[in-house]
Amino acid sequence: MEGYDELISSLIIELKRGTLVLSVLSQLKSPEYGYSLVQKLENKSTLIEAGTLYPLLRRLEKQGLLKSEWDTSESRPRKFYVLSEEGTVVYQHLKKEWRILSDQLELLLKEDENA
Amino acid sequence: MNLIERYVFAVTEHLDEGIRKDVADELTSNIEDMLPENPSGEDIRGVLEKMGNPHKLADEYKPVKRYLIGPTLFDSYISLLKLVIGIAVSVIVCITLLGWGFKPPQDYSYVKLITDLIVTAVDTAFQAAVWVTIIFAILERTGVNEGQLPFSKKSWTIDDLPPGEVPQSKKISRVETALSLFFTILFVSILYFRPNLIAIYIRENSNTQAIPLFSVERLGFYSTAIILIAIVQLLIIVWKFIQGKWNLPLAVANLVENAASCVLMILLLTDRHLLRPEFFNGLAAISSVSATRITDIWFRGTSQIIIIVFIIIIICDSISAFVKAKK
Repeated sequence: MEGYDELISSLIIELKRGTLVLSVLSQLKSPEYGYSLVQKLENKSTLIEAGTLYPLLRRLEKQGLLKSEWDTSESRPRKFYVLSEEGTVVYQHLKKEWRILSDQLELLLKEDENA
Repeated sequence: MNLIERYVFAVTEHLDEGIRKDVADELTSNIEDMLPENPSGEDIRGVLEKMGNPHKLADEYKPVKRYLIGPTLFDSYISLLKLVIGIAVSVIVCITLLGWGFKPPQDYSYVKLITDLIVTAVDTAFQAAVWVTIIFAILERTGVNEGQLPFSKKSWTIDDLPPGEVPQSKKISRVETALSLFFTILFVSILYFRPNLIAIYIRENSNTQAIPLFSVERLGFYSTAIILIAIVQLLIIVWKFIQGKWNLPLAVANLVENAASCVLMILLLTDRHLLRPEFFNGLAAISSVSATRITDIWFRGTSQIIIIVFIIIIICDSISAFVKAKK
């Protein structure tokens, strides 16, 4: 399998990319700022690179799924993101879709193991 | 500027002005959050290296297309670029040589001729490259490359599937593209760069005297329209080349462009201030018909005939485009 490491890691990245938005949306019922979200996900052993997450938050906000607000009450101003109403609806949809997808995949993989 | 400021600047430098400050503030506070209390230089380096190449990060912040001409159009772009530059440079070199041939002998200087040729050739090549690039960039952004009609966001249906090999009758051949390019470029180069070449040439004791048809000052009046129509024509030629076959919007564009050039042609041929009286006097001198009579024949007869022929050609061309598109 030598020489396939690179291919495997790029395929893994692709697999993860699809779940990225769902992971982020799932953690934003209450407001979080960039780094707190990285940590929150990390504590639940989901690793997202900061360089991927920060721009993603802005994109989701632009798409209307998140709302943001600067909190300047503390010594360091921070931009907090939270699910918008539309974002909540979209999240529920995606969640349902993910469950179906993962069940289907589970079925396929199990079948393979039993064969 | 400290290391963090430099990093944030490198990321946000090329972002839209509207979001630059906000992204910078947010990024700074996030980076500071990632650092321990009283961070060492080592800590800062570590965090910034973890964030990665600032150019890559900046790309993530920019959702829009960042290339001028994408991979699907690139091959057509290169081949048309070569074609247009080739034709334009040869045309302009020929015109320069021709213009030089009619100069009085005392002005003959080979050094000047060669510098003239090089300067005009390079200038023309640049002009051609710029316009072809601009046109492709427009087509890229209007979705022509996806086999779609420009400016339509309609989703693909099976009706849009090409019928397989394009029938010969509907095909736009490379020769046709090259020829239309050649004539467009020739027309514009002469009218725009060397209108004085359209003249009658009278030979007197080995001296050739040229009497130009057009008044250059008056022609300047039309130059914007000439260039504009030429650019639209170039756009249509490029679009045709990419599509490889006629379709309805192309035929419509062709009709509009034809109508515009028709109007321009009529204006040029009937403008009494544009055509110089000296030209008619010159004609009179060599033909023993009086100048007033020649002027009369021109404006009452010849110009009308030319216009009618031109209109007929243009109507045929427009109709044939529609017929080919319908097939």
